[in-house]
Amino acid sequence: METKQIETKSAPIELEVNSAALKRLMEEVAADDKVFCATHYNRTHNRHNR
Amino acid sequence: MNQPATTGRRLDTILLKVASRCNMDCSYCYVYHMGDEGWREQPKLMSPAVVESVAASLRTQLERQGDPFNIVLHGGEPLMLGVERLSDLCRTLRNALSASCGIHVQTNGILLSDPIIDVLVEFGVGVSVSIDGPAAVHDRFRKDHRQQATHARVVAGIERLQRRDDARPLFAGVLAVVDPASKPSEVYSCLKETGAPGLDFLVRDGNWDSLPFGKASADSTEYGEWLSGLMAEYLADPAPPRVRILDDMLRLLLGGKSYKEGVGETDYGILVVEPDGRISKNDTLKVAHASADRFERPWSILRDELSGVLASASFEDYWRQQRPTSSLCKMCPDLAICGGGMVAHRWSAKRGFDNPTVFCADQRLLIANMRNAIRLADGDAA
Repeated sequence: METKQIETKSAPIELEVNSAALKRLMEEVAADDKVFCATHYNRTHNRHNR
Repeated sequence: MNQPATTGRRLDTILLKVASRCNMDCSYCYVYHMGDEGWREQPKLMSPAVVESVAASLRTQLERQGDPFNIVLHGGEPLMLGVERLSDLCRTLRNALSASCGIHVQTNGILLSDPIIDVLVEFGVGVSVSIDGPAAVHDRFRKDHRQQATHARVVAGIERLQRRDDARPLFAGVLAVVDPASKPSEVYSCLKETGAPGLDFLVRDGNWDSLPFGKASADSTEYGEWLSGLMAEYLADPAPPRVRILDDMLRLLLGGKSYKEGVGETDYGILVVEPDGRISKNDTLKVAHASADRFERPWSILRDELSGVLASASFEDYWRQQRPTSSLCKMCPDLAICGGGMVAHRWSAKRGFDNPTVFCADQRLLIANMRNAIRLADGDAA
């Protein structure tokens, strides 16, 4: 794990340099989002009364 | 989805309010606690006659538009239908529609019993459960009508779903409403522990006249800081689930697409059918003011064709409302990422929806931090 502290307008934030989540997204976008189109994960879920 | 108005817009999501009441009484709920009393006029449950009419209308609309849409069972608490009526509803919809149309339920999880899960399995209904984090965070606002905590019952429902090999694949995700006073790390860990493949987060509702809970002013960034903290947790996780709000915004920054309403500039065709059959706009518009989700004409699924609604000038106005009109938004370098946020969050009595989202400062902070994260990953550390 390698993190770097980023100064922001508010509190500083520690961000991972070698992020698995970001790597996954980069690969999906490079593949034109085809990897991402799983039926169990679309925008119609996760919509509730708040 | 960018069809000319003369041919009628297409439907991509139909939200069925199958129950107008809820077995929980969350203090922040936009249905019951934000000034709209429309639920009082509704029958408690959607009747079989309305369900039949919904199924017939959706079949006709599917034949007309070709592209499948998704059906979300919503409420209130949709599982208050009970086993028999839920089964009848799902069978009616499945008989009317091809398998390309997904059926999903957004539930608070308490009523996820084995007989209910049997129905969900039989008809392939995807499940998403609302849970705000660990007990101390969740139970602060998500109580039942006796003001009793609900977290343990929600977790038990998720566990019943997860115990079954036949039901586990239906579990789509969990959804939390952000309490900016909570710790993002604790909330992220708790939600990940549910084993859900996807996590999603909503900010508390509000507008320019009624600031969201936890925001000291329109310029303050409590939610932006919280979501940035969540992102830090997510990006540091070596085995991350999906976090949809972050994935969608990051994907847009990387040149990809977004899928979540209120993010990016994709337009959506969402209609709501109330328990009595009334056809309404996106129900989150209730957050702006009472009845903001109603069309001028009281369209009903019992009388009116969906194609007529989708081709109407009223629907066109509603569709176009998704794009922000504020000059501040139009000049903003982050517009393609934030999309102006949820329409309801732009509201003020003075200017209507002609404002940026009340979360504008939060969005700008989060997007700046996302750009930093991408620069770091690209080896171009700031």
